[in-house]
Amino acid sequence: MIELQNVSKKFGLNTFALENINLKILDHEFVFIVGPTGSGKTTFLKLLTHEIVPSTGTIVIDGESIAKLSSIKITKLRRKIGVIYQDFKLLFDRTVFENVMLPLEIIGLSSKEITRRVNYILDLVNLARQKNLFPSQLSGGEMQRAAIARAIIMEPNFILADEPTGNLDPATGWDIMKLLRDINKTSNVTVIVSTHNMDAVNSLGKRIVRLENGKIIKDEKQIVKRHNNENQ
Amino acid sequence: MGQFKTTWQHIRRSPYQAFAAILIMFFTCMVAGSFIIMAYASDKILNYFESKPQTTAFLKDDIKSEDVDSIKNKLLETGKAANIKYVSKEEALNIYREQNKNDPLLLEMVSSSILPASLEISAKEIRDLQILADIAKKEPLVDEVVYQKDIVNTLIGWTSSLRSFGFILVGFLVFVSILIILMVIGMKIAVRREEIEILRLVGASRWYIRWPFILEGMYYGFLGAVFAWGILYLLLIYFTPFLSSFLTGIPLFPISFMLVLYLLLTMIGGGVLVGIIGSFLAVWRYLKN
Repeated sequence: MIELQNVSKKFGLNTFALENINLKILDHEFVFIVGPTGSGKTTFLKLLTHEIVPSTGTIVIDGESIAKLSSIKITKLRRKIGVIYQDFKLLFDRTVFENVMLPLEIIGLSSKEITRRVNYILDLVNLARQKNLFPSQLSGGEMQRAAIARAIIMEPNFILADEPTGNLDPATGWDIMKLLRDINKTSNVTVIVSTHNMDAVNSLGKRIVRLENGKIIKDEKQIVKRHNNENQ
Repeated sequence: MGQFKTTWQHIRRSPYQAFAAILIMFFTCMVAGSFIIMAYASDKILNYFESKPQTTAFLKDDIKSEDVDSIKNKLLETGKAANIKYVSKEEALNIYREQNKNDPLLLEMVSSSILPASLEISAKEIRDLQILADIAKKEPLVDEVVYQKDIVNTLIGWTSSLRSFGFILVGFLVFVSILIILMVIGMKIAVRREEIEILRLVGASRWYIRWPFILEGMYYGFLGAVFAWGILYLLLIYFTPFLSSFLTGIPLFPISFMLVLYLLLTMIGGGVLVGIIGSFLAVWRYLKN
């Protein structure tokens, strides 16, 4: 579970990126963080990965406050979180297989086990045929699926996706959203997605947290789906 | 992919920077190795001269054996003489004959009566030579004292200058090497900033990220040292015939294998240490978090 209590993040003297955020995200939940550019969505996700620390307030993840963590604990925290970015953040001098295996290599798994798990995950995201290609040889959607594969390979408790469809055409973006939904459903992992893609948000019927000027202005569970063009 | 493989990949992907780092390490190790050899050789040469009878007191023709003993005793009483050897007129002639055996003309002209008897005096410490020479000079039955003070003093002067110069030069080169390794590794960290960021986000620990850079510095030091040692060893083998004839009598050649092995280990140790310092400073400066 993730819980934010009175969390504010200030840049400079009086510029609040986030102000007095109180939010609870339960295990296995799927939550959209929406809002215009500069509303604080990325800051929110960076606080959870401990890339930045809050100016005030407390963040508790799986029962542990992450305000003051040692570097070893930060490393452990990040191993519990899979992160997906708009710009994919893949290593361009490594193949899809090598990119996906990166977290497993870091924890020192045997090459046999790495091969087994990477092949399984690549099958899951439908990238098995592209495993020996470099990111520059992939389409945008394939790159994002490779990034998702890397994010879920460690079987994390949480997946944070920062504008995962921002660089993709609507159809591919929709595929990625469905993939995240399926992972949430089948692996019981908590998924938090920040996005502008309101079509996807409205279609999936998940919880929506709306940010504006660093504040939560709406937190609702959307029931009605405006689009039903998906293959569920 | 292990840390070593990552390190090797870093080196392979920027070969010119790696070449520059290895070259400066090679140069530093080469100069340091040369000075180690020179310091060793000069020590040996100095020891050789110290163990030789550096002072010869030529005795007057009418000296009796008890007078010789009395002079010897006076010198021995100082406790500074290592050895005193009496060379009689006949022995002096033998030595003369041996030295000039290829020149019959010189041999014909000399008989034992014209050669003086002498005392060959060696000192325990080279600095005491002057005191022993002064004592011998005061004796009325000593005709002349030949003292190799100038040679020895010059040698001591040369040895200490060589060492000081070596220390300063090697110190300067070590400083330059550390700076260059710091720059090379620093540049690599800057180029890989995004990769480092990704590694952090997927849960790499600080030292998982840092190790390949430290290993890279060690690698440069190691390769530089090994290449420098190889070249030095070849040069030593090449110049051994010339040097051993130039330094006849001094027990320096052939240089033992163990000594060459120690030199290799010292150079590798020094090179790797310089590599670690340079890369550690880079990591400390550019990879604080």
